[in-house]
Amino acid sequence: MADVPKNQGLNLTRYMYRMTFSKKGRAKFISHLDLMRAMQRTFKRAGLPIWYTQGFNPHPYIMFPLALSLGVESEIEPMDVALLEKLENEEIKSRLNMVMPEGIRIETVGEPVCDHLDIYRSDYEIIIKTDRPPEETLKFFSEFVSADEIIIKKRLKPKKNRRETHREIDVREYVKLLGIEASNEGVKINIRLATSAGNDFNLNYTPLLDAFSEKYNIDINYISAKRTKILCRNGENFI
Amino acid sequence: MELKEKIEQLLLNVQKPARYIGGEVGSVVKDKNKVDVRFAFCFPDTYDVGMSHLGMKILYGLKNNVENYWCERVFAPEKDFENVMQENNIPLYGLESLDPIKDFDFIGFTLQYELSYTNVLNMLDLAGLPVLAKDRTDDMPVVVAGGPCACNPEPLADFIDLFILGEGEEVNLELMSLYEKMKPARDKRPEKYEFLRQAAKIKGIYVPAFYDVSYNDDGTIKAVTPNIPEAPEKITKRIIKDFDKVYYPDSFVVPFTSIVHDRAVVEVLRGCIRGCRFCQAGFIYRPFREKEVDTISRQTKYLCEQTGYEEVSLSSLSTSDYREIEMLLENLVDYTDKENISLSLPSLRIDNFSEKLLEKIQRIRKSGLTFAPEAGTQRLRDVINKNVSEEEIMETCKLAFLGGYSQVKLYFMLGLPTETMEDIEGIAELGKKIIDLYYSIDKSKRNGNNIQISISTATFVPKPFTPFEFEPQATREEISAKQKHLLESLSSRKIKLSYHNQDVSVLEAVLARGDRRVGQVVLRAWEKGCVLDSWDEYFDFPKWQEAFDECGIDPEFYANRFRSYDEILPWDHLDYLVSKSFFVRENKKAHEAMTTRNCKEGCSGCGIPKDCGGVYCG
Repeated sequence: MADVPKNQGLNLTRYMYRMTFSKKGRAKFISHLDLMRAMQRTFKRAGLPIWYTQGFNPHPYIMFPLALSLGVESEIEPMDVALLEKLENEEIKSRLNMVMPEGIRIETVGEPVCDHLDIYRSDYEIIIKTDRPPEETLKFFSEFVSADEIIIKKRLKPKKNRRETHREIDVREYVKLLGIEASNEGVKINIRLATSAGNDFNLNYTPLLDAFSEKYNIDINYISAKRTKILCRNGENFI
Repeated sequence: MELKEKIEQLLLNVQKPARYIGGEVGSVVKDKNKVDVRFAFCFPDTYDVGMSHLGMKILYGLKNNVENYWCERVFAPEKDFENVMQENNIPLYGLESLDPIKDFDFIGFTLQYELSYTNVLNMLDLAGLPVLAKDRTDDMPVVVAGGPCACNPEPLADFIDLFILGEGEEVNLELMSLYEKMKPARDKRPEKYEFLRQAAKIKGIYVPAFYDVSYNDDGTIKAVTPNIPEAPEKITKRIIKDFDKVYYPDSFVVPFTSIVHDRAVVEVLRGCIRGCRFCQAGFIYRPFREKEVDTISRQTKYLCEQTGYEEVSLSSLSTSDYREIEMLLENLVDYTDKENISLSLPSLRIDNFSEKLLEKIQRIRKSGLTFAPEAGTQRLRDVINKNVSEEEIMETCKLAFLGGYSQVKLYFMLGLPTETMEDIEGIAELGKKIIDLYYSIDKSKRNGNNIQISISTATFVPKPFTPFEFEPQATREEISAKQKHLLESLSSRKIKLSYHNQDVSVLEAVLARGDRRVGQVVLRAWEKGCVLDSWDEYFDFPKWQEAFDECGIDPEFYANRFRSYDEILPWDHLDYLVSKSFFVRENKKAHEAMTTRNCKEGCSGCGIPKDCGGVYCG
């Protein structure tokens, strides 16, 4: 018996949208995989007609060019969506935000301009608390990221039946400190790190903080982080 | 640091943290200063399991529908987070407010299976409360429990303040309303004893402390007697008479992490007409009541729109017994097809699985086919009153193969009353016949050239409020011999066999028909570290065995003993409206391999009153 795909030949016309959304508060615990499901359901609740892929197993076309680590907040996560209808950007935004899970808001809706592979850098705002006074942490961290070499341990994919291994690498060219201040609330670090939606080098702040903690023998007992910007190779915001 | 902030930091180091922080679409957050009664609805297992439970969704919506009541969800943490909670002094909290549940008015547990009992104790302890009811003072919440296992609540009698028997949609609100009235002020609790005394007057409420149990020399129960005038001799379960009009939520909490049943669920009917003699659900949810087609269609549409789910499932004990099933499916499929929603129909029976119905389901989805013949021979199927004949099984399989199925799952039980080795061989033979049937169909008309049959066997656990409540469970030795014989009887490599853990079945049997003395064992086992017993990786039977030994309680007394018809059973003071004399009659018929007709064919006088809304009750 021949199976016919459910929506074979139904709709080949689609309208591409690029949206950015913020992900804050409790929503930072939604994993990348779960976020996909959550967004699909949000579009369904909003009654926005998503374009489905035209295969044997049609699925709604929603795509996140970048992954955000679990536990990290963001102000500007990009998301590409294909809809069956051409709708006003503002209408899409307000209909989605009415039914969005707590902590997630659509910030912008527009047509895609940049290519995913243009993504080059991300800015983060990181607050850390350590076992040292904030001023001391500030001093050491500034020193750490201003040095000629920033050596971190990069985890390597374990080969079959082997233990996990690490490789030491210098990430100097991938790190740029944008600002740092100390207060009773801890040390606030604004930092720019290499980010890629393709195969280029991608630097997470976690190994950087681990390397800092190890080098200066400082215990970090609180971290909160937020992505604040995504930049293209040409220095412009990714839109 | 505020509890919320503390939890957030710690969650960075646990598995699937989204389970512990709430904030899902559909979760209800209220201003606690404007709320009079706070209810912590606890599912005594992990989030992934508990969030799939329909009863919780119904009662959560029902309570939160009342403006000044606030119901929150609470689940058992996985071991990794439990350790983190204990190391950092985080008390068990509600997922909506993240407030400790020891500050709530009610803590309510749903008892879905016996192996969750240690989780009940563990959650009370994590909340910072004494596990024994008598040790909890007036400044602590009232601890209540309901659900199917509340039909024999005796093993938990020492830990729970009151049990709710039967369906919860009305009685939960009555209970909360009584509490609200008895509160001296918004931030003060009523005196607990007085509250329980008043609550005992509500139909369906069982306060175990108001009953004394005495025992005969042989260990059986001599009498269960009320010790205050307010406590009725018999406590009767609650029934929703107008099932079509009963509250049903128009929204679910939509989880972020994937859970066991991650979909919209609409209840189409309650109760079962069948009367399979091993099945507790078949009796305790009687009578059989249905919702109207329009009601179900409306609720389906509402739920899908509100949740955004891409899948909806119809829930019942036997969906094909719904009288208007074809009309219902026609209605639903039109809607779900249009919306790219898939419709799933669990609980279809073999005997009335028509060609037309199969066609409808095909439009929906092609997954595996699951049958539960339960027993290998017609004689034994007659004993258990599973009125399915071999011809029907074959006929349905044929339809299914022609419809493109090539995977069949078969469920059986081992250790049923009167079972012989011949019945065991019957299981293997049935499997073989299905394979032969598949290959007898022309290649061009069936799907592929490879059939897969999975046979899954569970050990029979006799349950209260069934005709087999008197029966002994087969011993370990008997079951091992039967498993071995079945394995030897299987000749085809196309059949895959799996069976349940024997220790689990023994423990279920003891807890299901245990009396109050079994409570000590539950307590001792929990003290020894038993928790999450329904998870293979955590189940530790040697510890349970130690607990039995130390309490001087013999599991065989509960699991493997034949009870005479006139023995007072631990649940005899609870009335689930199906009469004991009916169970005795059914038990006798079982031993003569005589079947009983289903409710649709005619009433067999089970004892359910006519005025309970049953479709076939007069």
